[in-house]
Amino acid sequence: MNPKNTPLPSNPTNPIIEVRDFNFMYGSAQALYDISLDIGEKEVTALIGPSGCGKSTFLRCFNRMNDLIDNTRIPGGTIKISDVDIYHKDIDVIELRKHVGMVFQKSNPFPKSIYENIAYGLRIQGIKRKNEIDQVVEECLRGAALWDEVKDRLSDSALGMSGGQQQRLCIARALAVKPKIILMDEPCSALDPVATAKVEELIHVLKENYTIVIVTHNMQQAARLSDRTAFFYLGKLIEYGPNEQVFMNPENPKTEAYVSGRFG
Amino acid sequence: MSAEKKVHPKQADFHRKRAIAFGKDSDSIIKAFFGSSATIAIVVLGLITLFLFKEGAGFLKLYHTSLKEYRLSGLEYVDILKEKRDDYTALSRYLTDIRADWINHLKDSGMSAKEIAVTVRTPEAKAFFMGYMRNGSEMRRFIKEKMDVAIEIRDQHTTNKNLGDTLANYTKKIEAVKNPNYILNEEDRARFILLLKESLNNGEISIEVRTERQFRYGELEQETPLEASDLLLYLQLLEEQYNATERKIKPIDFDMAVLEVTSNYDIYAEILRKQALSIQVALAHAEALNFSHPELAQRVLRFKELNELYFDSNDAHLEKLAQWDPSAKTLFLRTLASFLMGKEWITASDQQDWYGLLPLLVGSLLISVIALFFAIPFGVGAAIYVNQIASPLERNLIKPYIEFVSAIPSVVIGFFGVVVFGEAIRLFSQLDFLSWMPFFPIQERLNAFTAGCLLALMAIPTIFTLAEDAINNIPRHFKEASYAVGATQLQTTLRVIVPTALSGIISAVMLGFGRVIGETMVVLLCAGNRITIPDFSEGIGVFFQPVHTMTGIIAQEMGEVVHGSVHYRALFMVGIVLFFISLIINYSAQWVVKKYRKVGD
Ligand SMILES: Nc1ncnc2c1ncn2[C@@H]1O[C@H](COP(=O)(O)OP(=O)(O)OP(=O)(O)O)[C@@H](O)[C@H]1O
Ligand SMILES: [Mg+2]
Repeated sequence: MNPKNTPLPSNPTNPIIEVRDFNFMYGSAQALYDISLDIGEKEVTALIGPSGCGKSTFLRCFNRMNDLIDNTRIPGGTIKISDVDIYHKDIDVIELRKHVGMVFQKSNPFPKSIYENIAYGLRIQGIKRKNEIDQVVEECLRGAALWDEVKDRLSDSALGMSGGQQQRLCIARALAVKPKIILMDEPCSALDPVATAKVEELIHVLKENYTIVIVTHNMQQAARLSDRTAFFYLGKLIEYGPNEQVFMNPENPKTEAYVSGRFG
Repeated sequence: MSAEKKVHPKQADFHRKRAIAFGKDSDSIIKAFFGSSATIAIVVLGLITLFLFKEGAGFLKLYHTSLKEYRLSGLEYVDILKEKRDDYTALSRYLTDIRADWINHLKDSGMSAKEIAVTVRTPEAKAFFMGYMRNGSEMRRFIKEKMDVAIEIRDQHTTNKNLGDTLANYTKKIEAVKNPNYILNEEDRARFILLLKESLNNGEISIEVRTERQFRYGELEQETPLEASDLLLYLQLLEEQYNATERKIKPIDFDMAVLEVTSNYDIYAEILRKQALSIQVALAHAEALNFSHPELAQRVLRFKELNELYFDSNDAHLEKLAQWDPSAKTLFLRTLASFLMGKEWITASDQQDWYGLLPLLVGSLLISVIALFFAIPFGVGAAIYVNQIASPLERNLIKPYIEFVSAIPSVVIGFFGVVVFGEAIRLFSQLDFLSWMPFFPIQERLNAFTAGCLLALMAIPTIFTLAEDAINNIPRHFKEASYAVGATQLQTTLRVIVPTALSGIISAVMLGFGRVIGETMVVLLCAGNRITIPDFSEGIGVFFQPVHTMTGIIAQEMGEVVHGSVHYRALFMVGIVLFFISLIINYSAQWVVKKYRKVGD
């Protein structure tokens, strides 16, 4: 199947991210082939697919996190966010990353206090006023449904929190720089069901104000959370569409096999 | 039932361990191998430590005895006397400087050599300068006499001790020879012949005995074998020798002997009083002189003030002498203090050896400070750069290169320091536009700074490698998290990477310090090896003074000391101090890592 020749499947009407014929290489190994899709504003888009199919790679292209890896290359294609080509040479990557926040698979709070973890994004922008920072910290912790749990121990080390709390702290940290888009790479894979439920609930709320792209291995989660789902296989986008289509009525037999669990 | 069915079923494979050699399975062989290696390493380390302590242990006792004798023999008293003399000498030198400067000023003001000669030799000038300098001779003579007496006492005491040892040896020998079963060996034969020959010069033996011995001596010279009868003669000779030695011992009674040092107190007081008067007379002549230069006049005034101080201290000085008590107890603690906090390291002196650690310790620390001053920014900076900023190509180039530096033998670095670096620094300090620096140009090409810079070179690879490891161990996700909220590379490095790796970096620095303080060859070659506490009043100039170090002194002096002497043991004590310093450094490096490790992964 060649996405080039087929019309974009059931595109969102208000795309904020537009990917066209995008290719990506780690050194000489190609990880993504000719990806084209649109991601709708204030929607939750799930990326699914078997391990190693390139979901994380694709996600990390949106905030150019792959720049940190040596020898990566984009032999062709574009990604536009809000109509700006983010791989254009004039792009300010720092600003881009403030615009496109990210939450990682493994919760990774800094070895600092809870307060400082969130304040970090502001401090690096040179904001020093205490009450402004205080306000943002509270806002973000509330936004991440964490405020009530930690308000009495803001100066404790973030590493002393539970895994679920740490992950929500990371979400709060991402919110602090006021992004438009939040990327999440398997945010719940290391959490127990209770913590997972809390994060899912949070994502549900965040959807009101943010565009969310989430990678997940959990089919139910994808079905529950997202509006649209993209299925990747061996670096290629196999199928992309609204949840009903991908999970109930897949066009491609591979998608069908994968979502029904008959797949390695 | 068939026969097969009765056979007991084959036992399962796991019923017994599989042996490889000597009935042992692979696990126990591996365990034995590594276990024994570890044990050997620990035992060897233990033995080295034990040896160090064993050799160093006797030091305090010997040094204590030496300090006791220093007091008993009156050398301490003489040293108090010398304080006064040294003060006077310093004053005279001050005056000589003034005179030299005066002549220089006159020269600068355009006077001819002849005019100058006239000016500085006017009767007033002579009365002032020469008059002043003449005032030391009587005091010096007095002190010299006392010093000779004290040295004499001490020498006699030392000789007595040595003779005592010799006597003990003779006693042992005589006891052995007296044993009826004793058989004379080759060594005895040589000794016998020697004693025989010596006894011929002895005027106290009768003619017959002498002839007899002469004859026997002649025979033995001709390789005649020893006979049983010789044994008796041998014994006799040994006893004669014993008695002769015993006669040489002139036991000294310290209490009596020292009186000769402390006597004539009144004469000394009188000498000082007369000196003061005579100095005042000389000083009065300064009024008549016109130094024509405000600075010089100022210095002469200062000189007069100093002399007032000198006179004022006379009473306290005399009081101190009067108070001095040869039988006062020398505390053991004082011995320890005079090692750990002693300001002098003087060996092979004809009066008293001093083993004070401070000059060496200060030298070592001074050099370390310089070395770390350069090595920390370069080592840590390079580590951060290589790990965080450099491209893969740069990384593959820089890392092995820096690590290669540690492969250069330290003697080569030291050699480079002597020949190239020290000279370069001196030339550099002579540049005109740098003359505003108070301590430039530097006099010595080999000094703490030279050694420190080269040690920095040696510490950089250590600090670099360990700091780079520490930074590398920071999980990559911290870096990503920082970038993801829009931090720049610099912000990420300074606010996340370095603080998180700080404990590792600090421990890298400490181990670098350990490397520096333990390094020997470079300091021996480049530090200038002057055993004094550098003069800290010179500000930054202190870094450009020659110093000696703890490692350097051991390497330098160990070869020439008498095995088992105080000096020998003092060097071991220095070694023990070094050992503890390294121990503390290593231990605290580990402590820092453990205590401040923030990321438990
Ligand atoms: N840093 C890297 N250097 C080289 N190759 C990489 C790198 N990261 C990923 N790859 C390769 O790119 C391909 C896609 O990897 P990616 O991590 O995007 O997969 P994924 O879909 O996220 O898998 P998972 O579900 O296991 O997270 C894989 O074949 C992987 O081996
Ligand atoms: Mg992944």
